[in-house]
Formats: sequence, structure tokens, C-alpha cells
Amino acid sequence: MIRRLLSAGLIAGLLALASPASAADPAGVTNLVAAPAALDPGKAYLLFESSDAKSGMFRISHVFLRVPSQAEVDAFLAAKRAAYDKDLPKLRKKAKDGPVPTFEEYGFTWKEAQNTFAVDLGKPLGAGNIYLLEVPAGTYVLYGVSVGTRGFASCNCLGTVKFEARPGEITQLGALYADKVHKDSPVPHLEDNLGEQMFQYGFIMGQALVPATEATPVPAALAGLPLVRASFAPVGMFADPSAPMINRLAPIPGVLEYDRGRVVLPQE
Amino acid sequence: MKRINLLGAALLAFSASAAAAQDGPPDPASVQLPPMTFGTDPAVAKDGYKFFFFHHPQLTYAEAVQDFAECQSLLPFGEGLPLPGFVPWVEANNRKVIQRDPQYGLVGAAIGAILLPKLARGQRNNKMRLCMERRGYVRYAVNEAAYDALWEGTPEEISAKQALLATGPAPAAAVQSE
Repeated sequence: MIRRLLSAGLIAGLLALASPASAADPAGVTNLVAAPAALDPGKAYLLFESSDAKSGMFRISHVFLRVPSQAEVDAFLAAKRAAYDKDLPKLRKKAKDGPVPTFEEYGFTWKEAQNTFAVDLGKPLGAGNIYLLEVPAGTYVLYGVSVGTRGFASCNCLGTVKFEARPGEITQLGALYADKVHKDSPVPHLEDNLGEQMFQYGFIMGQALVPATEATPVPAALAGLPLVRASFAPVGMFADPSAPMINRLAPIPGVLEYDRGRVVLPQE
Repeated sequence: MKRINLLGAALLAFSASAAAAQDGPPDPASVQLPPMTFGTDPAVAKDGYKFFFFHHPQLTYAEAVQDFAECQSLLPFGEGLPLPGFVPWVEANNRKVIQRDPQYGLVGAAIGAILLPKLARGQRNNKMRLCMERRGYVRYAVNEAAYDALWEGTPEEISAKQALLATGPAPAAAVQSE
């Protein structure tokens, strides 16, 4: 009974976060629902197929992170420093006789720029499950899984991949899959769940990628537009305390391999 | 020869526990394990999915300390990331710790006092299983008091206790948890 109540509470919490994306997308991401006549030379484009699993009313989606530029990181750190200095008297008062959070420990959410977003799976390219996103150019990381477009549910903190998205061309990723994996999922390519016992008051989300190959079809409407297949590189373990749960991107032979749970990275 | 980089490409910082492990694990002779009852007790075996320890007899104590430290570094859970949002990626992404104090009156506080520790334990168990079992560890049921004691102390102390137990004699009398 308690487990049911707790599960329901967690589900409610996730759903509360899973409201629709705002109309103005500050991450600079636009779902194209029709093929463009030409590409914007200043923008990059991501093309992929996606699974369509849901959790309740909300689609289980894919979270991308664009690696921020040094200028963005510097601006973030400056804003964090200003906020920390402003909050320091409150932090000292709240800490009483205990330790005061350091600058590094200080929690800070920066709202001036965004580099991490969940795909709106409600806006495919035409009919079906093909998506074309117009995004800022850069290096992208398959960062994790969301419930809806607002509810960050799980990071690929145990291993994932990254790729370059260059301006003026479509980067074809392949097929992305995501679902709850604490129980059997009909979504293919996800790693086997670790057993029913994993469902201890929390969702376990899994994600998989099947990279595009020469045989991967390209929508006819995109014929003639510059298009390259993504070149993926492995990304090792990282921490993100904002993620309620952790997991890893499923292994991809020749691309993302694990040795005793650790990502095998190419020799530098 | 392939190189296994545990930290990834200068990504988000690991916690101090992982860094401390790199300085050398505590002397195992100084590590005290709590009294334990294993899964031969049916009541302990029944709750083995909640109360367990990890075991991997093929590893050294130092290797196990490193594993526990790395996996423990993924346990902190702070304020959620609003999407779309900003993640500095190369900077430690420390976020505000979730306020766990119930704000729903006396009844809510009473319910919360019962449920929140179970939520936290379940989340910890799930994260540790996802990290440790892929490193080849198996779980064995243990009594609740011993489980709690294994998770008491600093991150370094927790890693040392669990690593010592994980690489000790195979718990032949224990029942592997499901």
C-alpha cells in the first residue's frame, strides 16, 4: 500500500513538471513540421526518428545538451557569483552554527540562456515519428530522458554520446528510443531492465540510439538539402544532481561500449 | 590500448568522495563492520530487495573503494532542472538541495516523516544498483539495522565499509536478494 502511495506521489510530481513548453523557446530550438525550402546557413538541423512511449498523458522524450561556449560559461559563473554574494548573508543566517555553502556548493539556476532542452514529440515533420529540429550549431550530448518537455527525469550520467551539428546542414542522427525500463517495455533497443525490484518508489528510464546508416531513409521532402550522418563519440560518467534518476545510454557496438560499467573512451 | 577515462571529458565534477578515493583508501584494518544477519533468516531474505549489500569477490579492496566512491558521487539529488535550462557542463553543477521538510500541516508532516526516508532509500538503492551491478557486483540480503549502519558516516567511511564487505569472504550463508 505504501509503495503504491509513494509511486503515485512521485508520478504526480513528475506530471506537475511536465507542462507544455513555452511558446517562446529560449533554447533556440524549433520543431519544423514541414520541410523547409532552404536551410538557414546560421542554424543547424537535427533529423531523427523517435519512439512514442508515454507516461500517463505525457510523452517520454529525449533531452539534448548543447555544450556551452566559454563565453556562456563565463557569463554563467559571473551571474552565479553575483547571486551567491547577494545570498551570502541569508546563507550564513540559515546555516547558524553549521557550514555555510561554498560558491561551488551553491545551487544556482541561470535563466538568461538555455542549452538543454527536451524534444517536443508532439510536433513531428509531417505525419509519423520523424523529427526535424532547427537548433543552434554546436556539440550536442544525448543528455537523458524527460517526461513531457519540462520534466527532466533521468540523466545518462553513466555514459552517453555526443556529436557535432554544423550550421547550414541537416545532421541525421538515426533513431532514438526511450521508455520506462523498471518493467518490460515494448520499445525496442532499450537495455534489459534490472528487475521488478528496481521499482522502489521511482521511475527508471532508459534511452537507446540506433545511429543512421546509408540504409536509413531520408524523407523525400528533404531531398536536395545538405545532409550528413552524425558522427558519434562516447562520453564518460558525469554527475548531475538535478536528475531524479540516473542511467546510461544503451551500448552501441563500435560507438559506445562499456567495460565493467565504465565507458570505454578512445585513446587520446 | 584503449583508455578508460572515469571522469569523462572534463565534465561535471565528481564529489569529494571520489576524489578522496584517488588519494588512497582507508586502511582496511581500521574499518569496523556492523553485526549482521544474512538471508538465511527468512525475514531478512524477504526484505532483501530493500536491505542488501554488494559483493564482488574478484576485486581488491582498493578497487571496490573506488567503485563505491564513484557510484556514491551520483547519489546527491538537488533542485530539479527546469527545461529548457542551462547546464554549465564543465562546471560543477551543484544545485539547491530539495527542501525535504513537509509543508502540509501536521497530518502531512506525519505522513512525510514515514514516507520520505523510504523514498530516499529507494532512490539510493536504484542508483547504486544501476551503477554497481553493471560493474559485476551482486546483492545479498542483510538485516535492516546492518544496512542502515553500512550507510552511516562520511562518504569515505561508507565506501570503506562497503568495499571491505564486498571483497571479503563470499557470504555463503546469505541468500542472494532477487
